[in-house]
Amino acid sequence: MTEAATTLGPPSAPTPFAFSEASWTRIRKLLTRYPQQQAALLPVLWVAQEQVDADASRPRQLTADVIKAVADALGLAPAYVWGVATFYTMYFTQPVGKHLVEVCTSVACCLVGGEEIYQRLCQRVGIDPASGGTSADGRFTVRRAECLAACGYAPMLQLDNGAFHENLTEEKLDALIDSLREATA
Amino acid sequence: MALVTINGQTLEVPDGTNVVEAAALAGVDIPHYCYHPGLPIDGNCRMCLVEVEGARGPQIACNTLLRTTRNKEGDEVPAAVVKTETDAVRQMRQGVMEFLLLNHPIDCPVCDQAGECGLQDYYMEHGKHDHRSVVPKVEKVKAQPIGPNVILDQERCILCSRCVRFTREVTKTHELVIAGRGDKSRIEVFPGTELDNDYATNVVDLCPVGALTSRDFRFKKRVWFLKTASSICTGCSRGCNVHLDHDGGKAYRYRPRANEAVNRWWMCDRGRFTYKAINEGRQRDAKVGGQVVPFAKATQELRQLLGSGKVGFVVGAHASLEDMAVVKWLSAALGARAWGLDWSEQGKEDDFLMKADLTPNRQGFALIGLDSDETSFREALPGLTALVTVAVALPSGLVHARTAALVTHAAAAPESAAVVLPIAMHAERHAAYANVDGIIQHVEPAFEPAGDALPASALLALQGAGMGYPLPFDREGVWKRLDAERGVTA
Amino acid sequence: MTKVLTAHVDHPDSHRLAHYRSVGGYEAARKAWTSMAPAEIIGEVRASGLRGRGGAGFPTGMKWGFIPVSSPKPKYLVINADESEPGTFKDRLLIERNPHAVLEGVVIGARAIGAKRAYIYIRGEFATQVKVLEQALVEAEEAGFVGPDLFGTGEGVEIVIHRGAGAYICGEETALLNSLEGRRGYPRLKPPFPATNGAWDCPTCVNNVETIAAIPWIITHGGAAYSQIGVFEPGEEGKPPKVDSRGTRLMCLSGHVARPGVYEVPLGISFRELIEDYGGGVWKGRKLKAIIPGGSSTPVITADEAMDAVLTYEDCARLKTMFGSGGLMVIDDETCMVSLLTVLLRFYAHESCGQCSPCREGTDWLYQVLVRIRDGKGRPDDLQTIRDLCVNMEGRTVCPLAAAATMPTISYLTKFLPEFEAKVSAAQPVGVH
Repeated sequence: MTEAATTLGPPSAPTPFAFSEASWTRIRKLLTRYPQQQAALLPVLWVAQEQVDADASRPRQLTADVIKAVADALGLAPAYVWGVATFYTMYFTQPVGKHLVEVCTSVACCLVGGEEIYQRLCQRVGIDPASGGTSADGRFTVRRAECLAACGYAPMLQLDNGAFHENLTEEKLDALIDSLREATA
Repeated sequence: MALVTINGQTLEVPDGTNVVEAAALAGVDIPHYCYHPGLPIDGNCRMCLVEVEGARGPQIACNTLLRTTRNKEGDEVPAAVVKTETDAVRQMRQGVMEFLLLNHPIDCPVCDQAGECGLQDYYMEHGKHDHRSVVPKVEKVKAQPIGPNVILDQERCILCSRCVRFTREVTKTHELVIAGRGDKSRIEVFPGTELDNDYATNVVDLCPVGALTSRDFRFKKRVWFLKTASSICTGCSRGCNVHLDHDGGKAYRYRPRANEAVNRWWMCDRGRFTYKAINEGRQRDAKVGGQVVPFAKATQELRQLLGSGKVGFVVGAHASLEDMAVVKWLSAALGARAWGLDWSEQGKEDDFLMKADLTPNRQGFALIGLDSDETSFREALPGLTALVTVAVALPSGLVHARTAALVTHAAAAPESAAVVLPIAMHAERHAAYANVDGIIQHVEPAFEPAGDALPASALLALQGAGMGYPLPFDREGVWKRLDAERGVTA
Repeated sequence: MTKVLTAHVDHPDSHRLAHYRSVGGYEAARKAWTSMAPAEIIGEVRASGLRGRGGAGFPTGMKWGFIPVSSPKPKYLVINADESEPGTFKDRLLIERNPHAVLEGVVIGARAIGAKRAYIYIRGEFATQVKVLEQALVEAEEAGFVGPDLFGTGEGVEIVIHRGAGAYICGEETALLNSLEGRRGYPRLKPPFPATNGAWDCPTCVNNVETIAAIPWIITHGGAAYSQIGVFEPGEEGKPPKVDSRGTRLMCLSGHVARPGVYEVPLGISFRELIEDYGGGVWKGRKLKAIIPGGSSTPVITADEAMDAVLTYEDCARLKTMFGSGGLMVIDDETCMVSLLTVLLRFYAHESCGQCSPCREGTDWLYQVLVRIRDGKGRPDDLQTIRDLCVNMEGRTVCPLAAAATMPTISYLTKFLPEFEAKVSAAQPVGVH
C-alpha cells in the first residue's frame, strides 16, 4: 500500500485566491439569472478563471484555492466544483503556459492541412506532438482541439480561449508564433 | 399495482417498481452494477439491458418503471413484456462486460475484493470472453487512502457512481466526485476534504468492484474463508441489521443487511467497527476472589450468593431480552429484587441512524418489566446481602461488597468482585434485542462463546434449576414463557 | 431566391439593431405579442413545416405543442447554440451576422410556449460570438424588444446568455440542460423528456439557433409562405407525408471544396448543385470521392450516391445517412479513408462524456484500433473487432453519441472496405503485446 504517494485534485497556490470586488459584482449579477444558485457554476468558474488570468502573479491554473472560492461563493462542495470543472476542456484544471494555442485537428480541418499546422506548431515551439503540452520556456501550451465550428475557414487555431485564427498557412502560423514570442519576450 | 410479464411469467408489482426489482420478485436475476435500491437511478453501467416488447431497441431494466396500464377496453394489461434470457440479451451482457473490463487492471490476485467482486461474478456468468484488446490500459491512481476508513483504487473502478450518489444523496456530504471525462474519468476527493463522514464505509459495501476497500478489513482475510451470520449491530439502540462475517471464532467485519424498517441499507462507521469488541478484551475465565478458578467452582460460589438472603440483580442494556427475562424470573423465584440499569456513556446522535444511547436493548427493561429506577437501587443497595450484575459495568460507588459479575468483557468486572463469570455476546448465541423503536430483532450465533462463557440466560437458569427453581434456559422455552406471561412475542 | 436567414448578412452592420430594424426587424415579435394568441403562433410554425435544424429534424411546431399549457411550473425556452458537430459552422454565422433574428425568434418562441425566461446556451469556444450576441441583447433590451414588458402587453421574456466551457456532448439537449444547471454535461436518461421535465425539472423546449432564427420570417410571411419553399409531397390518406423537407437550410461546405462557406439554399436542390454551383466544385480540379452530408456523425456517401441525391431528409434516409446539422464535407479522390475515419474517431473518443460504459470504453477502443490500422500495424481480426464494437455500442447507451461514432464507422467500412483491407493485409506482423 502506498500511503498518500499521490494526491488527487488540483494543487494549492502560494497565495490564496479571493474574488475581487469587480468579480463579486459580476457574480451577484449572475446569481439573479437562475432559479438555483448551482446553475451559476459555469459562469462563476469563468469569472474566476478570468481573474486568475489577469493576475500575472498567479499560476495560470484553477488551483485548489480558486475551486474552493468558487464553491464557497455558490454554497457548493469543492469536490463537486472540481468534478464539474474537469468535465469541460476550457477551464484551466491543468497548468497552462503564457499562451494556450489549440489547433483544430478534427475532420474538416484535417482534410485541408490541420494536422500539418499542428505538427509545425509543435515543432516550432518545441513540444512533442504526440502528447501536446507546455514548452520548456513556459510560453506555449499547445493542444489539439476538436471541431471549433470554423470548418469553412480551415485550418484554424484558437488562441487563449478567445480569437480564432483561420485559413492558416505555414506563413501565417509562423508570423503568429513570432508575434506571440515578441509579446512575451 | 402494475402488471408485468417477465420471461413469460406475469406478476403484479407495486406501481413504480422497476424491472430489476420486478424480475427479482419473479425469481429472475437481472445483472446490474450501478442500480441500487437505496440510491437514485443512474443507468450508466448498461449491464441490465433487456428486451422489452414494442420498445425501440434494448432497454435498461433499472429505468423501466412499471405503472398501471390499461388497454382500450379498460382492462389492465402488462406495463411491459420483458425478456431477460434471450441470445440477444446474453450477447449484450457479454458486450458490456468486455467494455467494463477493457481498462480494468485484472489484478485479482492482489485485490481484496476478489471473491465478492461483481466483475468476477458477472464475468463468469455473463462474460467469459477472451481479452482481445492490445491497447495499453488507462493508468490511474492506485491504493490511495481517501479517508480514515477507505482506500481508493481508480483503475479498478467501473464508474458506476454508487459512491458518488451515496455521498450526494444519502449523507449529503459531497466528498466523492467523478472528475475528468471519457475513459479518463475517475473518482476523486478534493484536497483537504477526506471521505470522513459518519457513514463513510458504506461506500465500500456499495462498491461492486475493488475500487473502494475498507482500510480496516483490507488484507485481513480472503473472503472465501469467511462465514456469515445474520446479526445486528449492538453499538447503539438503533440495532442496524448486519451480516457478521467471521472465521475460526473471530469476527472480521460487519456489513449492513437491508431492513427497510430499521437501517434501510446502511450503518454508521461507529457501529460498524464495534465488531472488534467481539474479539477484544473478553472475559474468558471464571474467577473467584480475583483468582482464576474452574467454571464449576465459580458457579458454586454464585449459588451461595444467590442463596444469601436479600439478593439484588442489576441487568444492563447490553443484555439480551432472554437474559433480562431469566433475571426477572430468577429474582422473583428467590424473592429478590431486579433492576434494569445501564451506565454506559452516551454517544453522538444524528437525524439518520446514530442514537446517543450506545446500548442495544434499553427498551428491553420496560418490555420485560424490570425496575429502571436508579434511586430505588441506590436506596436498596446497602441492605442487600449480595449483588448479581449481568452485562453491565457498575459505577465504582455502587459496587456491593459481595458482587457476582456476569460480564462479556474483563473491564466490566469490578476488581473487588467475589465472583466473575464470563458470558456470551450476541455473536455467540441466539438472542433478541428491542431497539429504540421497540422492534424486537433476533440474531443467530456466528460461533461458539469465547473461553468458558455461556449465555447469561442459560447460566442463570441453570443456577436456578440447581436451587430448585426450574426456569427455561433455551431460546424456545424462554420465548414461550415470555409470550404467555407478558405477551412479548418473538 | 428567397433567403429566410441570411438576406442581409453581407451588410457590414447586419449584427446591429439599427440595421435589423431597417429591414423590418422585431415587427414579427410585435405581431406575435400584440395580435396573435400562443396557439396561433404554434399553428403558423406547424403550417410552415419547419423541422429542427440541429440534427434530428423534429417538427418545431409539434415540439412547441408538447409544452403543457397549464403547467403550474415555470416554462423555459432554451436555445442550443453549442454548435460542435464537426463540419458545422452555420449557427456561428447567424450569431455573428444576424443575432437579432435569433433574439427575435426567442421572443416569439417564448410567447408561443409561455416561457418567461429563455436561455441561450452557447459553446464556450465562441468567445467572440458571445460578445456579439451580448451586444445585440443589450441593444434589444434597451430598445424594449427583450424584457419584462413587451409592446405594452405588460408581459415579456428575459433572455440569459449562458456560456459553456468546452464539451461536444452539451449539444445533446439533456446534457445541455445539465450543464445549464451547473452540472457535468452528462445526458439524462429518457424518459422523462424535457417537454415535461427539462431545466430544473420544469417544462422546457430546446431549439437550435437556425430553427429559432427562422421564426420571425415565418411569423412575418406566414407558415404557408415558408412551406412553399422546399419540397413537400403529402402521404396517402392518414399517412405521414412522403417528402417533408420544407424551407431553406444553411448548408456548411467544407473540406475539399473550392469555395467553402455557409450557403442558404432551398431544400430539395441537388447535392451536385450545392457542391458545384455554390461551392465551385471539388478543389484543385480533383474528382469527388465521397461526401459527409450532415456533420461527422452522419454516414458517408459515395460520389455516385451523392450526385444522384437531393437535399431532403428523405433522400438522405434513402441513402441510409442523415441530413444532420447541414455540415457537408467534401472528400476528394486523393483522400485516404482510413486516415479520415481515424481522425473522426479521435473526436468521439475525446468527446465521450464517460458516463456509460459502452461509449466511455468503446469510442477510445475504436480509435485505438483505427490508429494501428492506419499506422500499418493492423491485425487480421481488427476489422471484425471494429464491427463487433459497433454492434456492442450502438443503441445500448444513454445518448446517441456512441451511435454517432458507430454509424459513420460502419459506413466507411462498408463503402471503402478495400482500403481498410489493404491496410490490414499490408501490415507487418507484430508480436503479441
